[in-house]
Amino acid sequence: MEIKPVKEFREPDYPTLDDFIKNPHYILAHAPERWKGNKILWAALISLALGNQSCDFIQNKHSRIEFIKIHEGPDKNDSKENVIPKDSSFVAPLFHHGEGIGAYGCVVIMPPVFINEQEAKQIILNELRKQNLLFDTTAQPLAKIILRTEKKLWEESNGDYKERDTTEFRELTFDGYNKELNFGFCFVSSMKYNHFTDYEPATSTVSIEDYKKTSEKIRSEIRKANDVNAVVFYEPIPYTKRDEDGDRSQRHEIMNKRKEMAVDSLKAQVSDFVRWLKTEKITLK
Amino acid sequence: MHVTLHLTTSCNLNCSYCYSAPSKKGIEMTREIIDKSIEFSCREFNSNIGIIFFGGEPLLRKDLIRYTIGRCKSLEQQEEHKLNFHFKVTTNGMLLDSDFLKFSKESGLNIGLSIDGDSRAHDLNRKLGNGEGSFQFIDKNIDTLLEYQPYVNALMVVSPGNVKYYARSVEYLINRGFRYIIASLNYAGNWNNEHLKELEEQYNKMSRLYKKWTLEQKKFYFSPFEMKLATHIRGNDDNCYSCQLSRRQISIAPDGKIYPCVQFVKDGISNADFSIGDIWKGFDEKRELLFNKSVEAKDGCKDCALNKRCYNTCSCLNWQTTGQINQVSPLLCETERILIPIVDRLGEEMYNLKLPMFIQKQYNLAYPLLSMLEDEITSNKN
Repeated sequence: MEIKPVKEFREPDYPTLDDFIKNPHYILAHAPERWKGNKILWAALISLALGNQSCDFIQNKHSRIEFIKIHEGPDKNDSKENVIPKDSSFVAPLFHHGEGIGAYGCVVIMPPVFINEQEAKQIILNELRKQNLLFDTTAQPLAKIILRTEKKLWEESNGDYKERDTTEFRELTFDGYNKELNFGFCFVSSMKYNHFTDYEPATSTVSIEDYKKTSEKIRSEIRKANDVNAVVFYEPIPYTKRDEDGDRSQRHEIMNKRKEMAVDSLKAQVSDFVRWLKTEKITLK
Repeated sequence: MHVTLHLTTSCNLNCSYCYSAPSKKGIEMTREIIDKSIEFSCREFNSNIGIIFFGGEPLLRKDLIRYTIGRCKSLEQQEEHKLNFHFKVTTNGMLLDSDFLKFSKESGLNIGLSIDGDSRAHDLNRKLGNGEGSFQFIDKNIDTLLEYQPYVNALMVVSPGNVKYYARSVEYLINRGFRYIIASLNYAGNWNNEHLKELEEQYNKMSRLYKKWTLEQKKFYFSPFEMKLATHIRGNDDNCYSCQLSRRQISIAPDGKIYPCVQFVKDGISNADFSIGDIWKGFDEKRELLFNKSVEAKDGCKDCALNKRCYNTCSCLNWQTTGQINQVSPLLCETERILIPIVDRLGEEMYNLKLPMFIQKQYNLAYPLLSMLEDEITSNKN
């Protein structure tokens, strides 16, 4: 046995008290159910857990109240105002611009055009910045959101390949985050799609990639976690007619056109989000 | 400030790892020394004073415990002193009885019971003078003890011999009804690499148990894990967990000499070189000398990435294992390198799962109070 100084040690991935104390509502959001069910304990928890942070908390609450009015996008057919409890977060609806569906396989029915993930992030940030909505691309919310995804693995067994069910748990990373407002945005790129899409059996040699479906799953998990205010954008993959692929000499031009359409669709998603914030009198500044 | 009174050097057990092994001719603290010790403590430390009864086996002198508490209580009642005492005793449990437990409850005397786990783990080291294991004698007192003192600390010592029972012993104690498990390694033991491998396996088992209990929203405290999680979560505030040699606690030997910590007292006579004063004249210059030595940067630790999370600040442990206050034991270095990554993995896992008990226990500063309130509500319902 000897003294061996450790040269490098990864900083553990659970927060410090200092990180946590800035977000006292987490203490309330993650109280044991049996405490929540007891009025005395719940009242004590609220007053004791917040302690001398109550002023900050109230201030935060006020800033939250400005933008937390409804839990998610209003149902156009429902005029009722959906007021949420003060300590829950909200997640904007999915803004539909672009089909968000592509297909792969031996016969390419509708070759998808993707926006490069970095490029997409930049487009979103620029559009938001125009409205003075600023997001940090390096920060992440304190609370982690872990998504469960059902997958199939192909394994060799005695010279044969067999499918095996497997469940993956993966952390969702936000592409931009405003720490002060605890607000994040997430772009469902092809990488996120691969990470968070559940396995579905293919009915032919063509597989469909439905980005909106995966985006809805991510939205739903963010809502369930109830820890961070968020909006999810998705890879637009604009619809094009199949016969546009016919003329191979024009393919390059067609692809460029589709790319432009994709970029426009993404900008439209962001623009809808900003409009929605205004309509709902939600202030992020 | 905590003041440990070594009431006697006699003991009714003969534990193999004891650092204050019983002397053949027991030395007892007199009432006069107790009075002077209280007087000294009130003079030096003002309002909030924790009195800890230690030995030998302090319950051999229940009369002195009652006497001390009585004296302190009467001082508390004198408003001009504005004193607030709290009391704790560390016992091997052999002499616990209903009468004493009733007294402890009424007087607010908290009990720490030395118990190493189940009978196999316990009897390996904690024996009577004739070599017989002591488990059977204390086991019969546990139910009554828990009835009077539900928050009693179970003080476990893990040695090379019983390390293979570590996780099972903690599980046994939790199932038995203990909630606070304070487990320490016997660093003076004869550890080898095989023992360390076993220790790693046991920590991994404990990690699984810890997660299971947290998932079940059980309330428990397992000191090695809690303290190591705290070194990350609470960072520098974690200093409150370290003894700060003679700054947060002192020990008073039966003869009135003051020592920086319990381990330095030994038999009460032979280690007077480490005495830092006495109750009549107060502290001498050695107190500062030893303290300054204890906070010196440790050789080999300066550039270690784990330095701030390591238990290398425990001066009595350093002294016990290396003979030097400021020199770290290689065994401690090995065991800390085993423990920290296991605890961090556990912390990450529990945080990612957002386990409510983990979040409350580690991040809610009001958790102890809320937990007691919950217990109070539950006991009233019952």
